[in-house]
Amino acid sequence: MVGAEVEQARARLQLSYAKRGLATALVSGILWGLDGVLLGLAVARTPFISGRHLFTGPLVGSALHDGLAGVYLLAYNLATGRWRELGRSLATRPGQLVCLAALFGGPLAMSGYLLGISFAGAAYAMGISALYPVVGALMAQLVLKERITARAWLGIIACVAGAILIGYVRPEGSHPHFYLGIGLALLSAVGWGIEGVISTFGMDMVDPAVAINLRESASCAIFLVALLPLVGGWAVLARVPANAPVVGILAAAALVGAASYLLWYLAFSMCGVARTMSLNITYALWGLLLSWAIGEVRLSANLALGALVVTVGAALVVANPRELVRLRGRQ
Amino acid sequence: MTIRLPLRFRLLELLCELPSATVPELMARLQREYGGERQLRASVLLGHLLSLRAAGLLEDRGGSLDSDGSLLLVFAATEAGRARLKYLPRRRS
Repeated sequence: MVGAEVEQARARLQLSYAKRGLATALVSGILWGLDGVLLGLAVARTPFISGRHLFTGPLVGSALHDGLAGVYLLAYNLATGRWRELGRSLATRPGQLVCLAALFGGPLAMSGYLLGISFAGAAYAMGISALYPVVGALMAQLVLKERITARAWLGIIACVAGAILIGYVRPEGSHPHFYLGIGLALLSAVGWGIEGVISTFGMDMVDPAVAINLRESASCAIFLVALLPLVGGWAVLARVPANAPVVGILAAAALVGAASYLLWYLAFSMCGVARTMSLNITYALWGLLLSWAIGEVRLSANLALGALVVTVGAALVVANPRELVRLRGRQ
Repeated sequence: MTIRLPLRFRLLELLCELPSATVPELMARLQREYGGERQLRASVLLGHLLSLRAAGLLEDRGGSLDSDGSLLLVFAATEAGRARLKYLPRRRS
């Protein structure tokens, strides 16, 4: 009798942990949608629109976003008694791997994304960048031996297809470096995919809250030292503090971004790379709804269809949380 | 200057040293190393253990119900978990 009660309690705990992981990934996507809307409002203003290149402003915005998010996450780790874990983690190979993941997911993927849009146009580059959950799932299956059922694969592909539909804009203008742009957009999808797999491997041994703090700090440092000097970013950066409303929007975006990133990394270690990424990409749907709510976009047929496809995809991904009791190993 | 392992990694190492353990047993063993830190709480340890279990680095070998009726799972390292010890730093306290 007691054995049966224990077994029931054990099954309940396992299932509730899996469900919490899925909810964490979904909320991370919702917050990422809000973060994107806020960051978009900030980089559409002076001084971000006065950069040397089209992508100078967004790169400076990304650097500041990651740096501020790192500060918020440090505050979280101080408050929860984890601050000593930062140095400890950096002294181990898994912690160093998390910093390597930051290089792939932060500067490399973000630069590939922005340059891809610049060289090949948003229509194609954004669609290709949105493939990152497929890349991440493939790599997680290969490297981490993550179990992904046929239904979950269908859900992942539907989430990506829906996000592409939502983000689609009619191709316009000529692009002399079109294929370079496509290659760079592909690099961003690979960068985010690699980030998910490497950081999840590292988080097998490092606390996710600490890992994401390291990730954001490392990403900001690489942006500041290696990328911004190449695009005249420091001149734009120096003018940001003088614009109080922009600082306010950026600070709010980074706070939402820090929460989204924290939940994203937590979800990686709770429900795996493939499901986390496919639920994260639902940000396209949430971003659309938020933009619609503040009057930035008008709903159209392809947006409605995209929203429907993302919703069906997410439902397929979360359909059976029992699959998540064991994330890795043979099916 | 001594550097401790990250708590999650230390938990895995500890469970590779012991045949198996519950959260209260692990809490007691870690008290000397991480005792002054707010992160050393049963809920935090259980979160780490469930994550390691989902990743296949630990397994739970059943459990029991304590006097409050709360589940007390018994965790043990798997072969995959033991294999991760190769990432331990060479020199540490």
